[in-house]
Amino acid sequence: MSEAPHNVLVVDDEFASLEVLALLLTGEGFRLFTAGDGQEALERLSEAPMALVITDYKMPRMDGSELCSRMLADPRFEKIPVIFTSATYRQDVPRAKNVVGFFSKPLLFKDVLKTVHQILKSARAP
Amino acid sequence: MTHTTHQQSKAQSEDAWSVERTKTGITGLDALLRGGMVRGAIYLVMGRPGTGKTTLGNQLCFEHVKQGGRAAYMTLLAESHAAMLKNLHTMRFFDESLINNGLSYVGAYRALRDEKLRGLLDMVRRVILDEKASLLVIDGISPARALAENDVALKEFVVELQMLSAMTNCTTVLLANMTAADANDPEHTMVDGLIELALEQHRRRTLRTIEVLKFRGTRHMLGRHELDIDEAGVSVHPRIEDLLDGSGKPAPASDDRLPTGIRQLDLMLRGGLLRGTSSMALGFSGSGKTTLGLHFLNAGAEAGEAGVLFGFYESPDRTFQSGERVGLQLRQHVERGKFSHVWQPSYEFGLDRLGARLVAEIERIGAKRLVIDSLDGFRQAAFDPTRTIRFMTALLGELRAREITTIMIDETMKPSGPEMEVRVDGISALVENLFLLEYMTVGPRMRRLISIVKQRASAHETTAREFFLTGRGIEVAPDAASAAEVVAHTDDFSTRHNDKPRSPEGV
Repeated sequence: MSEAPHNVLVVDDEFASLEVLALLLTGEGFRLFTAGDGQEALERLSEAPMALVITDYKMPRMDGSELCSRMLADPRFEKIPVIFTSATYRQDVPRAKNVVGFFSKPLLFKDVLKTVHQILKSARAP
Repeated sequence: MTHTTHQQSKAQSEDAWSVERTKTGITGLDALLRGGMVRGAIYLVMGRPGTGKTTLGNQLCFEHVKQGGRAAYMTLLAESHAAMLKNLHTMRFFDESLINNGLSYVGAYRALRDEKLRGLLDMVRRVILDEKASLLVIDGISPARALAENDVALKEFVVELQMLSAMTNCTTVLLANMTAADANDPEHTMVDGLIELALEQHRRRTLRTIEVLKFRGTRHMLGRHELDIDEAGVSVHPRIEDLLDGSGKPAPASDDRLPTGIRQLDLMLRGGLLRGTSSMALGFSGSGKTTLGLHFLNAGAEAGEAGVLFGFYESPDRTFQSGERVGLQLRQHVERGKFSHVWQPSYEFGLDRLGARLVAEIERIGAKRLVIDSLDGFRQAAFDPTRTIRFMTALLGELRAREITTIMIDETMKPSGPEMEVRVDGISALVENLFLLEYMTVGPRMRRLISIVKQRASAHETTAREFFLTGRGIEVAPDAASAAEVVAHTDDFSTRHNDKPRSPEGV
């Protein structure tokens, strides 16, 4: 019996980035949820158990950093690993402890996919 | 789980901004694009039917696979793959062994028709990932526009396609049956590059052209350039003025003198032509200009210096015969790789293809001497005659930079006298040396004179000399006495062609 697909939440205010990453991950067998900012992401998190969140850093209403803080503050979401993506993110910005990966935009899907698999495998390990 | 380090972040960030280029492998196109297409970018190639889009698209794929990449050619509503390949199979880039072995042909119309743009985008995703394609050509994007729900949907599709190309690092080329005149559609504004193929009519000649209208992140060559489609496929001939833009390091001025093969002429020049200079030999038809050029190339070949005759009129056989009649064994020099005759009827090609041929031949045999017979060939080839001077400026600059000593022949409208016309304005200012070959009748005899009008950076003989065309070629009189006699006794022949009498000294 094959494993149920992992739920992955992709958060990005940039339409094409969001849609295409979702399309690519869906093609790889993941169950995709999408949100346009941090606020919307919190709503999605409440709807289904997520294995991973991939979020843009800079977004209107609630940015990626704030989303991570809110997730850490909520026992339901504190253990969900997060990957940051950004076109402008720089190394001097502190990261929350749930951020386990970072990718500069434009993203290279094969690198993202490799990291996603590594993170999910690591999360499954006892 | 580990956090990405700051150093890793920085490296990733720099990777994301770096631009990787994919060479197209198409002659001249990479020069036009300053190195090739940007990997993961999306380009639109547009043009009316018959402008060469399909050939270009297929050639891009074959060349990409030959370079080690993987390519997919996707059609929407276009001719069948079988019909297309049948039309292409005689072209040299075509290699059947690459099909389904690095290069895939995919029909995507059904996905578009049944599931609209979302279905097409998913099909593109599958093709790129399944085929591991690093180049995707989508032929016939017009149906996607026709089946789009509205303009916004089409815009979304193009932006998503652009993002998909970037994320998968697969360069995408869209082929569209449209022109720049109707370039207001979303696909024009959203793509990373716009290239237009066209057919230009010039009286009864048709010229294929290519123009890069937009190419993000690259200072591409602007303007329309010559494009050709033959058994080799598509080749592009960037305008010589842009290609040879003087960015190369100019050769230092040389004091080295090159014998012309005509002893007395060398004495008049104080030792021969300065290396790397350009000369113009002006004269009426039959005045001996071509023979002078053959002497020059023969002298070089005998000294081990290769030379090219770039001619528009006489066939190689005829040239060899002409040489043999004056004792120049040019065929032997061909066998030794020291002489080459490029014969190019001027009406066949435009200036840039001629220029490319000339430079390629010089490189092929390592020529240090060049004779162009004649400038009129370039003038005739020019679709825009006012361009000839700019073209020649760039070409001569390049030849100088390569230390190639050039004699350019041009025919005058009159046989002699001060009003002999140069038919490309400004050309005489471009050359360092100017020879004038005249002939006139004295009694029943036709007599010839040669003068050095100028030799920049060097003293030279300032009087005209009589010369003779003999079985040994051109022989120049050792002094000006007979020339003075010719001028003094010039009869009506020259005055019939020229309004003013001329001075016996110089021109």
